[in-house]
Amino acid sequence: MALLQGFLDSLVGLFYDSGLMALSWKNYAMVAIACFLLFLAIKKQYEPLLLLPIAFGMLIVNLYPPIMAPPSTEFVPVTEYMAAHGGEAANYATTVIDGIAHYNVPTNGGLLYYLYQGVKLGLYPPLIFLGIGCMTDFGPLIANPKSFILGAAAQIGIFITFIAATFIGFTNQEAGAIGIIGGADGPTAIYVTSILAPELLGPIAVAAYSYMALVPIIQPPIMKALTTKKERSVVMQQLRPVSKLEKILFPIIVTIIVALLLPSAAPLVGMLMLGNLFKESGVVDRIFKTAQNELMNIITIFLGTTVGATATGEVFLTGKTLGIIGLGLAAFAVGTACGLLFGKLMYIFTKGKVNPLIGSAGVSAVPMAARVSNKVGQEENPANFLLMHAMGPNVAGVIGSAVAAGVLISILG
Amino acid sequence: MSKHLLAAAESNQSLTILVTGFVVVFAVLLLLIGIIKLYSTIVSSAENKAKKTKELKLSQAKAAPAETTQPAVPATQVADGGLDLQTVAVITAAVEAYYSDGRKVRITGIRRASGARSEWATAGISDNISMRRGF
Repeated sequence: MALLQGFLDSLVGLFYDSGLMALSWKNYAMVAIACFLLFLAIKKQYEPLLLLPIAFGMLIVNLYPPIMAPPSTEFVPVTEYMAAHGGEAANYATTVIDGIAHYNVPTNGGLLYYLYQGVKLGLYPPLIFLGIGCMTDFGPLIANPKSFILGAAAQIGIFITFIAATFIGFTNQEAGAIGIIGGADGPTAIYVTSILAPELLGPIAVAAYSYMALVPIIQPPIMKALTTKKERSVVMQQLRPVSKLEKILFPIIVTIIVALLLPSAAPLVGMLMLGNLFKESGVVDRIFKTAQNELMNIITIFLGTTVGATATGEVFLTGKTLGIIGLGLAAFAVGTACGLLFGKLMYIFTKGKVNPLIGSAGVSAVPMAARVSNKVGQEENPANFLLMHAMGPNVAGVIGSAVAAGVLISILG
Repeated sequence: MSKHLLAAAESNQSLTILVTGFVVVFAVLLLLIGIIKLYSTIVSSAENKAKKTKELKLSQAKAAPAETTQPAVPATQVADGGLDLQTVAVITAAVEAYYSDGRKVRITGIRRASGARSEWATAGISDNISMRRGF
């Protein structure tokens, strides 16, 4: 009988400890959202490399919140502690509560809490940039440096969205973090948000990566609306070949200029350029391969999972998230439009030698935005290959959004 | 501070950030355009100069033997067809070494193998060789 009672007590204890009792409806709603994001990542292949770990982090933290819990102190009565440890006293500090001495027993945080420190301390995004630098060819940008204008123009969306967000009622810091979604650069968005508004990290990361995945859907209507058939049909001259020496000097010079003028952008731009120097120098093949493969993959796992794990029901299911999703879309659209409009200006000033479609690639989202420029151009003229021309503004957009991030951090951080 | 003043101050700061953001992003990227153009010009002119010097040296090297087309005493004896006898001896020794059974070899003629291989074929062969080196 006693055995049966003990068994039933254990079952009841397990039930009370289980998620079925501990979780709120918000957690279940987040589980549903996480499953939907997993569907998008796996079935639709929307930025799966990041959306999948983000969605899974979201799933697990809402089922088992302690996985993201910080380390804490447990107050255990000294007598109880000694009884459980064979009468031996411990070296913990004591606190007297209601006249009873308690040991301050430290408990460890959850697994994802520790991995999250790389996001919190701003370590992962620059390391991701290191890998991106290894994979980026700045040749088209060096061959046509005017692409930088388009890369800068597309960042206007960041600042216009910033203003819109402050009008809606977000604080300046929150507005800065929301505006950076318009940079269409995941690591930059996470880096800025972790410094300016860490509490919004989950919604902003989800919005940023979702919109990056939706670039082929968001951009073409804007591109077609803002350009004429004649403009879209422009065939651009072939880019000049870029020498190896120019490619080696580029990351060194950009690092010097950006770090001197805008030190807060140095971690992002510096690591991007270091990765690129690994690639272009051709003398550190092993490091180059590690940075763009193993290191980048490991950091992607940690970054994606822990950023997803910040999206608990209490944080995510608020009116702010809706605002972030709406403003993020506006940031993307305005950035695309500004890039295109500057592309049109270049079309006019060069007397029709520049196809304005390459302007939309200035929003980063490498290389998706450049591919979209190419695709829309080919719809007018199948023999028109704009990809390499669009890669210039595209990689300029990466530098531009990092510079914009530096501006926001130095003013608001 | 009243609510209106606070709101005005905040929107003032927002506008300041907007203007600063525009100006700084454009200024930094325009500066980069200028610097890239400058160093590209310097690098390409330096490389052109180096190329020209190399070409000059090459043409001088070609011109030099032409000045001594008829040396008083030939430095090496030359076989029919322009190959010097030392090269003929090396090729003969290589062929003899190839037939390692001690058979006597008599070279009656040396002919350059056809160099009409296409660039793609050459690239394919070198790729094949470099791949096998990795095994």
